[in-house]
Amino acid sequence: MILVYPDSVPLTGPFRLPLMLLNIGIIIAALNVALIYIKKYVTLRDSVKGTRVHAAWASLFLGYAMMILFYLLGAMYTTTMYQRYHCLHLGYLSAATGAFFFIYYIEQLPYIARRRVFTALFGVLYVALVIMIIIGFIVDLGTFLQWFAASFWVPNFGFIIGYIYKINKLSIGKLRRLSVLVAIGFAILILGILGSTDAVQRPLGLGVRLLADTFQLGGVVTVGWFSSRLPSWKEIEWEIALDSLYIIYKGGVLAYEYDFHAASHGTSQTRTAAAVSTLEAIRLLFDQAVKSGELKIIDFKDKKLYIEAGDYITVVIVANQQLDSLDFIIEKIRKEIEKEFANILPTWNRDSAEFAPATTIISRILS
Amino acid sequence: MGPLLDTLPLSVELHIISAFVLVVLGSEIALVLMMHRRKHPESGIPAIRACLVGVRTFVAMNGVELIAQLFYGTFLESRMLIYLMFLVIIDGGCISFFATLRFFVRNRPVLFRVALSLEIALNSVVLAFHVVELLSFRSIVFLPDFISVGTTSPIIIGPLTFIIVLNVHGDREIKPYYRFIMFGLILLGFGGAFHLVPVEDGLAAVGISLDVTAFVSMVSSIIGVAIFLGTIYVMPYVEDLYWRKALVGLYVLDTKAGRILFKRDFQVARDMEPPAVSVSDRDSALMGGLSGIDDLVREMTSDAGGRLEFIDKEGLKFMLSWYKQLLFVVIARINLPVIKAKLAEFKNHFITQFADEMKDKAAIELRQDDLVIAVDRVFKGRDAA
Repeated sequence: MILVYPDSVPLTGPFRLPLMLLNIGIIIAALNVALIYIKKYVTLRDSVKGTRVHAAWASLFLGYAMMILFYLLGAMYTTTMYQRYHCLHLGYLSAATGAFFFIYYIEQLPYIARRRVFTALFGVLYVALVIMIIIGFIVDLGTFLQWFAASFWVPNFGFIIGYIYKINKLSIGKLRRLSVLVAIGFAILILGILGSTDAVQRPLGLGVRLLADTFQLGGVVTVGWFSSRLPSWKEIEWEIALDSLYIIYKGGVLAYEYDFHAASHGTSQTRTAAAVSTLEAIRLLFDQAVKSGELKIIDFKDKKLYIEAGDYITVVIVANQQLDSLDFIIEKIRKEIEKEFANILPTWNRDSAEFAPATTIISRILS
Repeated sequence: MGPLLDTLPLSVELHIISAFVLVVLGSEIALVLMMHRRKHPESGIPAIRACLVGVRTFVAMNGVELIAQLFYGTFLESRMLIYLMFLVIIDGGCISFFATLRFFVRNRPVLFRVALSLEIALNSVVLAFHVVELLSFRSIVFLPDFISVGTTSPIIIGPLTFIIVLNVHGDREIKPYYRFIMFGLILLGFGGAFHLVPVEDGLAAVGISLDVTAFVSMVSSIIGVAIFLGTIYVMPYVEDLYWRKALVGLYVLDTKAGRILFKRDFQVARDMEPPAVSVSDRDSALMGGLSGIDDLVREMTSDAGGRLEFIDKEGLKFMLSWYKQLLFVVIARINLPVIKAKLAEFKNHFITQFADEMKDKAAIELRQDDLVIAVDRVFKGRDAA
């Protein structure tokens, strides 16, 4: 019986060159994605949590690129199965190292996980893998490590599904749409990785391997493209960044106040009312001094004021961080309030109680 | 390993891998540059166009090689044919590159009228010879190898010189990136040189096999182009390179005395002109707005929010920095970290230079000329005339 790849190396025949070029394409694409995250890691140092996430994704894709490189060398440039298995072992080690740092960094984020269950589980498997790889260089372990490496999929799958679900739940607007597309890219990538395993190739042949590798390439490109368009990952912290919200009626009258950390809303205090009048005065002064558009953000060291002016009202959000997500939220709140109170606004009688339903609208938008 | 590789010799397979990677990475570089050019049409078009010419030549060269190697790589005689195709493309690339470079040197007659025109003429003649050689399958040979190699070397030496010039005139922050690009180009040139048939033959004559030469060429070229791509990707966005164009004005305000100590307009911006007030009224309004705003956050929030640092008024961004009662304000069209860094640099200079004046006098009087020099050095990158 003539043995063919993956039971015989190197890979020869009509699939050699297409698979080789496709795998090189995957390596380039994965390194590109890693580069995207390395750039974000280097340039977005203003958020410790944000940079951890970027470092996590960079390590994952670097590990993946190295894994494909070792698989490629094993398939194309080895002459015995023993050599190929060594290449595969190094591939597992690369991928596991990348995945370990990914899980380790991500589980440090309090909004993702409170306990480092996956880091512990993956850590145990990782140590076992390293020990077995060392043993594998001394004695021939055959395909045992291939089967053992499959066990890594349990924490990997569990973690990635949980992580993407939480990101999607926490994010809003454009970020949510993009996170869905990143998740789809990930699904395609994982499907491709599973399709390129020896267990699938043996019964289904190299044609399926070609298709699986195409899936991997498509998955990496999808993840890379959409994740590069994602705003900083610190954006998902928008909820804890919120401090308070004010609705100012034209002329500088405080109509409504919402405290994100208090149980009751809508009660206006004299001190706050004076402050919003000052804000309106400042807006007028700035309009007099500088003709360019509306005053949008006033940024103090620890407090940021987001200002969104409408026909009758101006919405002001006080936050602890400058985030793109808040631009989306404030605009949505202003539009919803103007729509809901369209009958009251032109002739408002200065009674704050009339704005009480705003609490429900704001809670609905933020939920 | 040779016989195990199906029908392709190892050297050919390495050339195929090399050409494939270089086509992909080269296309990516071209895409990044085109996106920059489309996104920022006002900044550095000739520079990006010159880069694009070089990169497109590079992609075309490797694309042709990839196709040729895939179809004819196994035939030894095809080496020379592929090499001639290579030369023809490089000749065309050199001509385009020098033609684009002329945009930069319009005010330098020697370069514009003589040097670059001569280069273009020389490469055109060489191109014609190479085309004839290619069409005749090299049965007609006009040019010795050393002339062919010499006349095509500007495809690397040209961009390298260009980057060296940019490095000399570039901002301090951007210089390390130019150096990385230079290193990438040198590696690329080294890899390209190893790929030339006369060089391969010369090395083969001293016992270095085609496989080794192909491997060295592949590794050097791929690392070179990867460094190039990585650098242009990681280097600050094009806005950061042209941040000076975003500057509108600089103010130093004494918030205690309620007056403007120093003011410098970097450009006359329409947005800065208010509808019906004079410049002095505008400055007073700005002063009043900035001073009033500082107390606002303490009233609106339960705890102190810190000092005012940034104001976004759609078209204009106000970046602020404080020292005691002094408020330093830069007005710019875009919010860039580099501008904040420059403001901090100017503030430090200001504090150092006027430490005595600020200590001794209640009302600070400043030497305006000294400040103009300092501002021009920090924000314009040159000493004032």
